[in-house]
Amino acid sequence: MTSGFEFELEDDPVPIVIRFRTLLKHALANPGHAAIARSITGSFSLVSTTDPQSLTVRIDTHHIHIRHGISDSAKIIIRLNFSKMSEPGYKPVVEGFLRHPLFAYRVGQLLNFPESSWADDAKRFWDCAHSLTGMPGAIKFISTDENRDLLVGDGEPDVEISGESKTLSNVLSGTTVLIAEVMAGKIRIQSSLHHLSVLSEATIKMMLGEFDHG
Amino acid sequence: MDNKPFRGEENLESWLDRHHIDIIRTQATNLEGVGVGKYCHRRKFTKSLEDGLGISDMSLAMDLGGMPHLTFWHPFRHNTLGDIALKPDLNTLIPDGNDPNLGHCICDFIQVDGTPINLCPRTNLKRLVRDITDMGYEVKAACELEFYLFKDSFKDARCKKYQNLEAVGASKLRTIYYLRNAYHAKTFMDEVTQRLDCHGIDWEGWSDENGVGQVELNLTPTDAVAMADATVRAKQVIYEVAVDFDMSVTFMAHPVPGYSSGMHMHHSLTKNGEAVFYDADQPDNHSDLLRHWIGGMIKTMPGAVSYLCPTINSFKRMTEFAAPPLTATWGEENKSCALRLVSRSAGLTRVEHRLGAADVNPYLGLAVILAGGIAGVRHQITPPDEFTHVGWCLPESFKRLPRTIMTAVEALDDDTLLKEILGAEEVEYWIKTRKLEWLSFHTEGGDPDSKQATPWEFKRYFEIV
Repeated sequence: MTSGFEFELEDDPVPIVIRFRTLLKHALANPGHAAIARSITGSFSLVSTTDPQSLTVRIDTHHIHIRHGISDSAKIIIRLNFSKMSEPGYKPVVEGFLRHPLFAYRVGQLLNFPESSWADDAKRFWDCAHSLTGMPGAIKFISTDENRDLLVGDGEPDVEISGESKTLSNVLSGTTVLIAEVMAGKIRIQSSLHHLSVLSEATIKMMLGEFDHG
Repeated sequence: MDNKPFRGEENLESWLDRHHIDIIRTQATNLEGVGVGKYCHRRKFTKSLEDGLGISDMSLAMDLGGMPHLTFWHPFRHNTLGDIALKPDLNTLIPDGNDPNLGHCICDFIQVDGTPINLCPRTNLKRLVRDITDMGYEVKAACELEFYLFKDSFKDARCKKYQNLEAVGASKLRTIYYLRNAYHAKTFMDEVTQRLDCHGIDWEGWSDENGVGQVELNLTPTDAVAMADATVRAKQVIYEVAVDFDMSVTFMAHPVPGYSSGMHMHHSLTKNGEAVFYDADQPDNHSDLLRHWIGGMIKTMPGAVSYLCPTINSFKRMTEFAAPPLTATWGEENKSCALRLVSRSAGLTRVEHRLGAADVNPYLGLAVILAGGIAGVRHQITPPDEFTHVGWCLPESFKRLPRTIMTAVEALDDDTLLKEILGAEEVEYWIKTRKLEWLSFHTEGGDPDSKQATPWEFKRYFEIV
């Protein structure tokens, strides 16, 4: 249960379904977002414009059902690039808006996930992942646009991770995977291969909600 | 000049001289079942016998898309990009027989200090065979290789994105053993079998299989490790003949609609040459050892699916009435069961494990099968009753084996017996590789609802598995 909501996933869920459960769970921990969710009844589908990924979310009182694919019962279908949905100003295409304007408006509010600071995300990431086998003893995070750093763990940092605040936040909240962002040049890291691998594994676990309990 | 392998009966240099070998191709098999190695000058090869030939540790830990495993870790890896080594097994040194200067040698992955790497599939299989030897038995195995053969070259197949290729065969009928179909593959298979003969790989026969363009090759039973060696070599030979003939071939489990490709694995245990699965005093000829062996294999079968069906594509083979078993069952001469027993005489007694997909890593496939048997004997596991019905289209209430890569992973993760025998660290690493395969498929363009191979699968698997 999260803020009174119970999640139910399809059997053998695909990654996008698990990822959305994680995103919604975290969002609904915010009372404002939970209130928005309580005002929604019905289904909406999200469809990737770049690959075959899609999912349908059905909200029914305190139950949230998520499964992959587009449902015939979806009131609106949102076509979007999943990797860009957290970017400021990103506008997906919404089908069914004219028939269900209020529903579409509330779903839009729901999917406008509350922003957190990269430092809060870093602390939360560390709380979740520090006991994983092979994790470094301490990590120094550096926000290059805010020119601010944060040390988590004890002692001298074994690893230094730097990038723009938003990119750091995405990696540390499980929206993106560390190694992918490193290879894309968005994140710089000074680390052993061992720590890079374990930290990347931890970001995947964040993405799939494997650190969440209950 | 004979083509027998080097067995140490004579000096290595003399043997290489006698076979005019200047270059040796070393070959090891990584976790995904992909052959990796180097073509080595004879001087380098003979120098490497003690410490092995240096090779990047990525060669063992790389996915089928060619990406190193950078989202999880195993202690065999180095903190920086480091080397491990390929340790030649001289018992596998053979002349190519076709290329006059070339020899081949199978290797194990080891650390550069000579320490074994348990994650190496061949090393793990050798360890299990030693466990069986310690129990007082010898194990013989045989693999059946199924593959699809196309008239298009690999280059043309790539241009067509591996779809709508022209299968080799006389008709579009989905038939089996049709000699007219087989005749269209004969020139190709003549070359394959000639090269197998040159390599000293014993084969029993080949035939047209159910699918259009599908061929099955049967290898002669031998020691389990030697059988896995022969299987990876035979797959390489088949690939090379396809390249030389401007054709293409795939060991994908389900490359075309209709019949899929499997790798049935037979095995039997003996003690001083006597069949120990056989007991003439029992009405069903099944020894107590066989009963426990089956009990262990059945109990560990849901978890074993992960190794035997390793890819996204492997599971597209798992459909009702299409040859692959879908239930953890055993039966005498019952080809709809996962375990088909043949017990009518001591000489024939064996277990045919029918779950393996064509894209299985033969070392890991045989290892997980033997691990199940060992678990059954160690823990005196009683098997369920023999299944005497048809194992397909059963009522919904009948328990099925995992049908997806992640449900197989869950079953493996829950399997304490397989972790005990295969090594918990190795099993856990394998689980992470399967999860990566699942994530890659879903996040890089795979269509989860397609019952047929998707473009993502063709690109990732067609030429590699």
